[in-house]
Amino acid sequence: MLKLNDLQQDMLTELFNLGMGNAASALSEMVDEEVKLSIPNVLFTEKHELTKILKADSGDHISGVSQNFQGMIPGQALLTFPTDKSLELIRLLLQDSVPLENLTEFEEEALTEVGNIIINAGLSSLADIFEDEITSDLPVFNSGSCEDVIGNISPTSQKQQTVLHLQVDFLIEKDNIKGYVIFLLDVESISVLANHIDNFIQKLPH
Amino acid sequence: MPSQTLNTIPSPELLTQVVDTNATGIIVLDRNNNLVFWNKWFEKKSSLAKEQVLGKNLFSVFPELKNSRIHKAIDLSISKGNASFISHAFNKTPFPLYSDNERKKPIHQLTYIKPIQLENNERYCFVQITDSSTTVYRENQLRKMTLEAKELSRLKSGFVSSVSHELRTPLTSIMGSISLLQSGVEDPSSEIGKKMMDIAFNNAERLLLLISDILDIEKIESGNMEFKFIEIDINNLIKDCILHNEGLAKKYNVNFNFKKEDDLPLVYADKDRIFQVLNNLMSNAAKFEPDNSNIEITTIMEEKNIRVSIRDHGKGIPEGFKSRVFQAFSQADTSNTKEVSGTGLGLSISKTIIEYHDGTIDFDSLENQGSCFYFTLPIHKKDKY
Repeated sequence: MLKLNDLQQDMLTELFNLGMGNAASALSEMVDEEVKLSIPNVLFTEKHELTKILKADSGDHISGVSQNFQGMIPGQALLTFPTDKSLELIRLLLQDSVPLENLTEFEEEALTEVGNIIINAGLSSLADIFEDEITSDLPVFNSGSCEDVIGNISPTSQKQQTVLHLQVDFLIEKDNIKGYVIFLLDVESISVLANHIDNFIQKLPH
Repeated sequence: MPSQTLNTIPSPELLTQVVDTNATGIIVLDRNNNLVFWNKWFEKKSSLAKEQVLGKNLFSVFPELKNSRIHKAIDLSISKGNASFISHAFNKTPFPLYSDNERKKPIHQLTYIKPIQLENNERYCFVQITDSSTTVYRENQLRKMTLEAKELSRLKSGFVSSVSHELRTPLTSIMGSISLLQSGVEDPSSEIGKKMMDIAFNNAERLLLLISDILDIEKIESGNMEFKFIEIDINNLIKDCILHNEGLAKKYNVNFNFKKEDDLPLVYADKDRIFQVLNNLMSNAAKFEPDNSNIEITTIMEEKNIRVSIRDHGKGIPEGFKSRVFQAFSQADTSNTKEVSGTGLGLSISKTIIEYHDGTIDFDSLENQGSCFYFTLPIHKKDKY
């Protein structure tokens, strides 16, 4: 599988962090509380590895928000958390004083909105690299086993895909909640992405 | 039979009817945020007909939406082609839309914003609103119920720890007295020995009282307290209760002075339970009444209720304690009164009993002037029970 070199990887991380800065200020405004978002690293992996990685990091049950996107590199995006962390995050954001056992419909909707903001920010970072539009569809809430969630957004029949895997850290008050943004891309998209990152770097003032 | 061509392209009229039949709000904006579509749902919830808004800029129709999340999401959809979802939870400025019933309440909204791109690359912004008021109401109810359940469980565990504490105190005294006698440290026939037996007896009596009150509370909470409603003469019941408390009156050196209203109608009530309430209020009053003075008991007819008052001339209830008077295991600091004993459950039980009779129980109290506890019992018709 094609990999990005260190410079390309750093550039990509930097761009995603810029995008997350915008998402964080939108979230802060929404909840009247400072929300910080950062992307400590960007990984590439293959789709068949994804479930294993998610399980190892997030446990069996995950909740998240997915969106399809179209443009130079079409695919699916997913923001995911271990289900208990998604509860924690949304209750921190909603400042909910009456926590119920499961995510309620109301909380699912709130999480969908948060996911939508983060995914759109990520897509906007990618669009900057391509200097072209990446349009997106409406977000959908997903919850279940890692296999079910991944299977729902990208059926196994779909052609070989590669995965751009970003860890996203939420810092709200003193709590740090770790989630992942996953972009499922066609295999050939990676080389397109690498080329565009190079072009982007060349255009930067030295 | 003539062959028919299936028309797969719906007419504009049909399309408009489809969107107007939809139970969600749909509007469409052009690149400049001018309204090009406004469905029936939007007309109803905003009270603005499409003729009033089509062709106008959305933010001149609804200036309050300027720079809102909705505004930003519309911009994102037009400029970058991204779809947005705005939940009810975080949206500080939803569309000013109201329920179409008489109450005209603002509706809770889910907002979907999505770009539409035509073949000629013309881009529009599609905005769809779903009324989520029912979900919001249901979840608020769920939250309220959860809070109540939590409060109940907190009260229950508080009750268990209070009960354990209250049972332990008299038991410790009983054990202490008996062990002194059993070990031979004190001779049972000596003056101190007799005192020890008195202590053991009084505390056992208190324990018995406490356990019967706790069983009553348990019965009340589980809904198993049985009431036997019969017609009773409240004045006669009060007289019986005064007789029952004569010993206590002597002990505390007080009198009961009963001023009754004659010819009161009979009330339909549980005789034993009302006696329990009277007994509780009278014995409380006796404990707080200063020596050689009169506790005033009165009955009076008030519209459709009989009101019974029991007034003492004691220290009164401290201001800070008033709100907890009817709570289980509440007793104000009694250091300045006669040696007051009680379970701290009596008033809580009395309140439940009176409320079960559709009556009310309350008190007036002034510091150093005394307290007046009163309850009412309605004159019910027999067929109510």
